[in-house]
Amino acid sequence: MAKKRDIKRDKRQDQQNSKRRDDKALNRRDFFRGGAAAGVGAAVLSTSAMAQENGGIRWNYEADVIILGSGCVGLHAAVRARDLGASVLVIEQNFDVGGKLVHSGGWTSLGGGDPIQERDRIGTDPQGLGLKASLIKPEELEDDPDRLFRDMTDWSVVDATGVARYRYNDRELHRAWADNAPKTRQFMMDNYVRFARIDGTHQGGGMTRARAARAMMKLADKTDIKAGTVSPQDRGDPQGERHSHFAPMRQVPGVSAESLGAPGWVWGGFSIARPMEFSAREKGVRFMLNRHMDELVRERPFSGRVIGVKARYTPRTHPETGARLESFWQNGNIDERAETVYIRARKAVIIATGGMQGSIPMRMMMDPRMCEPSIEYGPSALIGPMNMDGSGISAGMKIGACLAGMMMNYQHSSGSPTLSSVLGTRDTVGSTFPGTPAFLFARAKGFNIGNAGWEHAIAVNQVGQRFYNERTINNNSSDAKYPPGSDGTRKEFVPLDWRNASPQQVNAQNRRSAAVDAALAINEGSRAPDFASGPVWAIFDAAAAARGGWTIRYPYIADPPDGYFHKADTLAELAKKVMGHPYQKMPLKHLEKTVARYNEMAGRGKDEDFDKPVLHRIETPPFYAAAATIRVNDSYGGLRINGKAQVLDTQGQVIPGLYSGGEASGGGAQHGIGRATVHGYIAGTNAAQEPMA
Amino acid sequence: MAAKAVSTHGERTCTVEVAPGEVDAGAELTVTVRASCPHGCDLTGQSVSIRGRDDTELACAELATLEDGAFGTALTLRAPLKVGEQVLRAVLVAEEKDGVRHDQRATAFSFIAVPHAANVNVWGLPSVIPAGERFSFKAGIKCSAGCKLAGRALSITDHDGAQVAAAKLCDDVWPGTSALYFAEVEAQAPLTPGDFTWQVTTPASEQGAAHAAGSCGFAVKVVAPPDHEVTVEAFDGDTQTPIKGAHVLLYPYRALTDERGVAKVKVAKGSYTLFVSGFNYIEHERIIDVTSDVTARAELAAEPEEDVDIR
Repeated sequence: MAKKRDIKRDKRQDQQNSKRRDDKALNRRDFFRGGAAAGVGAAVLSTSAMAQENGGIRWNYEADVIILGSGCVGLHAAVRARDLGASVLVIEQNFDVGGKLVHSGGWTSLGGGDPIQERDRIGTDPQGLGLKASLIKPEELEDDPDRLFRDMTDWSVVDATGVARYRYNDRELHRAWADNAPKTRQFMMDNYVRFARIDGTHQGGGMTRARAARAMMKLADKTDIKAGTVSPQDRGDPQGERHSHFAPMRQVPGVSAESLGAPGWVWGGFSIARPMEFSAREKGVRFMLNRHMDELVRERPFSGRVIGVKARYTPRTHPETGARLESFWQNGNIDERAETVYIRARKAVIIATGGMQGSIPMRMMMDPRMCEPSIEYGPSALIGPMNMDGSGISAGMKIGACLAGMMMNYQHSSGSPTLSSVLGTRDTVGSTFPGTPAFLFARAKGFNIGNAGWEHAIAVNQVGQRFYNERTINNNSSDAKYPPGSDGTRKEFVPLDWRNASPQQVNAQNRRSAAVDAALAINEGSRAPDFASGPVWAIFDAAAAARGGWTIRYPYIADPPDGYFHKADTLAELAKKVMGHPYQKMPLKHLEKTVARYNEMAGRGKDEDFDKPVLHRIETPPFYAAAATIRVNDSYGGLRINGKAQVLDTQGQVIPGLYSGGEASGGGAQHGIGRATVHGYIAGTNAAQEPMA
Repeated sequence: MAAKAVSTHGERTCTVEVAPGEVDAGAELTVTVRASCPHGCDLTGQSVSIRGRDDTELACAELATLEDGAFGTALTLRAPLKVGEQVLRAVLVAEEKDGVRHDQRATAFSFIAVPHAANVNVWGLPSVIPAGERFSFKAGIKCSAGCKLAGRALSITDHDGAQVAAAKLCDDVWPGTSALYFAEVEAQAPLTPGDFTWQVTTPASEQGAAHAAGSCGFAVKVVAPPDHEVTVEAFDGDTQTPIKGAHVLLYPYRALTDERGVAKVKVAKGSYTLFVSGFNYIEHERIIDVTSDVTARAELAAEPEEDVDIR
């Protein structure tokens, strides 16, 4: 029998010396020389492996808790389970830790009387962060788990399409979420995460109280996670068009340090992801990066405990040099390069793999509009092609897990396809500058023309025809949240009051346009078998670019070109050039005719086709075609879990030893980091307390 | 030494594809030759020669393995300057190697050399022109083969077909383009208000490569002399700072605001819908009646940042 490797070790052991790690690496190689036998065993077992007793599997590694994914759920679950004494191994398909969290804005909406609400309610600064006065009135920070739960399940809060936003949050899940939100905030703070003053509530975080604060780090000479500081080098310099490996995200527009009551600080998802990762490594959590979980191993096909995973080596390489990309920190990494390994979980497996928006067949389960190949999952360039591929969800389904809340995506603004005003790039969400490895794949930051910029451009489909009033192209459904009255909700909001959901109120909120539906409609170029509608192009001329001062140069567009931005002397040439886009299968056949008609209508002062209020002739060479990517950012349906984050089967029974949370799970329309942090905390807590298998 | 026995495999098969089938005179085209032997021989390294009417060799290459697995090669030829159908031959040269002989095989193919197309464009025209006033605009031509067109003649004809202006293309290309040659054109507006369609045309040319004629219609909107001046002041509603570069529309009159956020528009008296729009602002819209010189202040609200839910 192959020798099992126990990665459980305490902090002191980890810090002893690097030589010991080198020795272990040698042992590992020795192990895998004989690993061919393990591979054979794996092949035999991999079909219905899991249909067999586990005695046939030769485990290559084992730990108490195996966590699949190192994003928001994974990091929080890992640290929590480690705190409770479990050995923890995190499997991550990307070359670095952090998932979508490290690319996020870091706005963390918790509540229930959490420590930051209390800090700001009293107006103190107990950590000595140099905060200015609280931004929210004290009475709007008074909160408790009961109020939070009531907010999270208030039937009367509707979105712009009249769908109850909170009513269909699973009650058991959100009761547990509300109860654990204050503890999670403290837990994050105990692991080096600092928060600015509370400045609102994130979408899906409730209507009656302010609950969201940005995680932040202070700019200083050097990066010191314990001190909460980040160096200019690690922070990057958005004004200097440079991001960094440490903080591979864009500055969130419209937010300033001053507006957060935290002068001198910078914010973003890195301010959670890096401190939590640092803490995890410090506490002895081990990371096996470049490895994708392909299958869960259960004692029997649809019964018994989940006892491990099968995972495949998935390195990402530099597109020019071919060198393997490496994580920002390496301590605690297990550099395992065998094609396939089996990893045993003595206590539990936590599925923290994120959503399914990167997989066309899977995302179609929750939204038929997502059949279009050209709909891009924003950060896929950043986190890799296998990110958000639904693999955690499908692996759960294969061993009998049930799904929940698949309709939530359809109604959710961030889960629905939207047309971006960030043009000329496939990555309209990450929007990174050079300096981060992610930019090697994103290739361009894109340039944002804003909603108003569409006055100066037309949007055409894959055959060069307009399809909607461009000026309303970005009107999406609203996000009902605190403070009431924002996004059209009722200013005189009273919890559980029918007037919040009256037809008049819904009508007042409804500003959603059908531009995406029109863009995705079958057109003349749609062909069997998928009848794809193709990409959307913003077409404009040199005069529009000059009026708007649009930054049409590297790194806002790719150099060398990547097919998402084109320039030509004539419209006829432009119509052919767009073929460089990966989803553009034909020239823009009608482009010249479309522009001629548009110019004619501009001369007449009336858009007889789509009622766009102001038209500008498109006539001054050169002419431009910039991809207006239809993107989907988030995923809201997934594995059905209970309040302990245990995955349930189709009979409603717990699948022993299997946990999930965040975007891999379903049961609510709550958005973002607030949801995922608490799920991670709950899953880590309960997984660590499972009996040894 | 005894001579080696030679077996003859007879004629190889040969197919030829030409892209594009119609090509600008003097421009490049690609000829893809694919060959096979009925006995399945490896033809790699065998020679292909492209020959004209008098058997002159225009290009040659060796067969290799193409992406589709066939033996073949892609050759680049330049079409003649003379317009019309061109018939050439692809010759698989006779080869003898390792006791196997392949006879020569010639396959005829053709393409059509066409005159270069002229893509004509007009821009920079005022949105309205007071009756009888002189105005200017730009007209440009892009040759489909990217030829230098400096000095080429343009003629502008009015709605009745009468020539109202003429120009020659400059030596320089229009900024930002690779080969769009342009001219500044001046003309006088008709004496009566109305919407007119004029034409800019360029004649065919046989100098060098054949160039086809080209033309483009463009709209000329002529209005009565203005009666009053409308002063529009565009301000940020929150900060009360002027908005430079805001677009002002009192259809058909247009203007951009200056650094003080001010645009002055001379209009005929009447009722107008005033649109004031700026980048990153929600547009301002209201009806104004112009019966005298008037000032309109437009306070624009900033549009919300695009919500990409990464907050």
